Amino acid sequence: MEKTIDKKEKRKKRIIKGTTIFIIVMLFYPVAHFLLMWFGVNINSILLTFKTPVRNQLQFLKFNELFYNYQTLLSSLKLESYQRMFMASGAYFIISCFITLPIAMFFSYFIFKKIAWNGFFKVIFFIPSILPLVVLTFVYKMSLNASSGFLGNLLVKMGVNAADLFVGDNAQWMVWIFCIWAGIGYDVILLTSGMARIPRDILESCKMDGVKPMKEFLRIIVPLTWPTITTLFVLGMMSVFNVFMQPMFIIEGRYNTMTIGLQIYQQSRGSGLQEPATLGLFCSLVGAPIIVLVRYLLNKKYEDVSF
Amino acid sequence: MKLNKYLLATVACLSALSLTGCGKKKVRRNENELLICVFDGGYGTDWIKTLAEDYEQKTGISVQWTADTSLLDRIEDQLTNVSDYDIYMSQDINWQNFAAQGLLANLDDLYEKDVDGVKFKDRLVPAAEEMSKAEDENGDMHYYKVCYTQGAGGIVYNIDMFEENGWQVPTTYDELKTLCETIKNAKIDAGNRKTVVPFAWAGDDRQYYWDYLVFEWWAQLAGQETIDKFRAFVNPDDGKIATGYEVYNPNGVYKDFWTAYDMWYDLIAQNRDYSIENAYGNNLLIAQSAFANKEAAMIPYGQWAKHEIENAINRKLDFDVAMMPTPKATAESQPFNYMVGFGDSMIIPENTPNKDLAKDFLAYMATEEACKTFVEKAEGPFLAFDYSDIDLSSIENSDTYVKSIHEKLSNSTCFHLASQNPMSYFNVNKLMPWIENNYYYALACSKPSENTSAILSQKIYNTAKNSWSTWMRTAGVR
Repeated sequence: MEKTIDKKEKRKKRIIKGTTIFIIVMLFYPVAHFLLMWFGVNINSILLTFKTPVRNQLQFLKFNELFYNYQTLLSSLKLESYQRMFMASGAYFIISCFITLPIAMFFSYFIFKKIAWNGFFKVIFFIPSILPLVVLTFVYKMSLNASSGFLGNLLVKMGVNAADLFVGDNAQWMVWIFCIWAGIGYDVILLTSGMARIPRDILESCKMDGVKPMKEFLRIIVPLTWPTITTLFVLGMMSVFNVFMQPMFIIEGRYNTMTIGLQIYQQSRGSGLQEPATLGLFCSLVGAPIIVLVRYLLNKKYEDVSF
Repeated sequence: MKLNKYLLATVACLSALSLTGCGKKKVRRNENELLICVFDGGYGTDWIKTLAEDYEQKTGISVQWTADTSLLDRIEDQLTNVSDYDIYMSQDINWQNFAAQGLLANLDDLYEKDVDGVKFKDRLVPAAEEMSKAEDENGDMHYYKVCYTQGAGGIVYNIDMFEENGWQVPTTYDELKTLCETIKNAKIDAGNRKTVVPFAWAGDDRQYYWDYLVFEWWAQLAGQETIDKFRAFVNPDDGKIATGYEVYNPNGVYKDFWTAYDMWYDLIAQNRDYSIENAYGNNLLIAQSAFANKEAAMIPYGQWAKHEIENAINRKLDFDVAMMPTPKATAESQPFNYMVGFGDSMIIPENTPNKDLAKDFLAYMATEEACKTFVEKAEGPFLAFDYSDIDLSSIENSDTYVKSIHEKLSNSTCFHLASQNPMSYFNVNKLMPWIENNYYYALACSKPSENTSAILSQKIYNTAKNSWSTWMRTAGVR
């Protein structure tokens, strides 16, 4: 009897030991990744916000001026260039969430409903998402060139001064138009995948009940793809801080197209790393709670449905 | 137990592997091989190829070179960790910054070295010696770079077209204006239902080529002393750095800059028909093609014009070109040459094992033979060494462009805008005549009324005033 208990205990111990090793091994990579790539990187960024370059050597600020970088940033907010940068970045929230996303939802529904030429439209929408951004921006700009571009020449024939397209305030509009054009494809990919999961039975039942397409879209499709829409909306909000390659490739951040992301990128290439670090942390502190709150509110809109 | 041992060994190996990227690596390099990285720009690569071959023939030292357009993106990492090259030659190297970090080799002994019977430092053009010194980690001044080119910029013109139409090269601003009107009114057929216009230029990516003209007018109007006061970036009245933004005061040393801008504005922004169609929205290739296809008689450019245009259109120009001496702002103005790219540098990394070899190659570049080869192969650009005793007649007899550059360099007072003030080099691309590197030439053509000198001068002055304290802190200046 005692022998049986001993055996059972030993077996139990072996299982526990084996499980522990398994858990340790499984956790090693994510924990190491978190410590190195998140904590390690971010702690360095946070520390940078309390440093200042003296003869190009970053040194910790004295205690009485520890928040100098933050004070400098706050005073910079009064500068016209900073205000323009924040405005330009904020515009991407409107573009991503209230222009690109609704258009993508609309077209995704068409593709989902398998309207005529849906395969063609799929390709048209997806191509910008497949091509490298640097190629896409180059093609976009060249095609709109007033002297040699196909679209540019067309605009000239229509009486538009195409030479002005990428100069001055127009440049901002051209970057926005590019972002809408290139951004739709990405949203369409995710939305059509979300819509494809909707059970056909529900849609057939709607058809039998004589539900019109618009009603079907608003009452059935949107609620059932809400988690995808929420994700895209949150990603759209984050574009306020993320967009930097589009204005950089198209217009090099000139003519009020400078964004927070591009400013951080450009400053990070220099030696005064405390400036982009402070700006980045400031944006995270302001942006993260807003994004979390919006996500929470969006998730409350419809109950989570599993199918 | 066995399993545990294996796991432990695997984890240890992975950890060891992940740490292999840390720490400074020692470079093992062949002692008889020199590795050079040059910026792949308008000078081409024929010159470095030839110089490398000549040097190898003379010394037996193998010279491997790389031309790279992304050099500047990698250079700091290379200097900090492991450098793949013994010499870097490029524009925009933030060398003072690197010197202050101890990343560059001290070149004091190179400057004392004998080259063609004179000291290396005596082979340099005036001002190049002063521009090559920077503070080390301890605040002591040493030579850390060799100036790369001395440069020239301005208006490049089609000699054949001028001769065929009997146009004279303008010597004053007024003559330039008259010439532009003459060219426009001549309505010479340029094909494709176009007529020849005075200028081809690119507002999209090379609007700053107009600087070469405007800066020289500024120097002619203000004089060398005022230019030096500007590039010092200290208050011209009391010498204080804290109020150095006063150099941007439109009523101070900066005043004549705006007069020069006005001259450009009246000539180009107010006369769109003096430029090729859509010039201010065009890219460089379109401007280059328009000039090469004889749609424009002139093009604002730097010394690398001929080589770069031919490279872009993939053929030799079928007409002779030259860079004209910048038309005088007033009849009394003295000729000035803005040394385009004078801030460009040749540096040796501190972490290279071949420092002596690299210095020897730089000394070789100062020889008359190498200087001549550079001009011949780069088709116009001149190294920042003294060319007064170098006979270039064999090149100039067949190359009008090289001759015009040589004459411009020889017959003008050369000036530059590179600054030794830490405010300038620790705030990269901030303290420039066009503050924060924002140009307004294209905008002025697009919306002339919104980009007058009165509006822009105040805007730039305010930017300087509002940003100065932040820039001082960045530069570590109290």
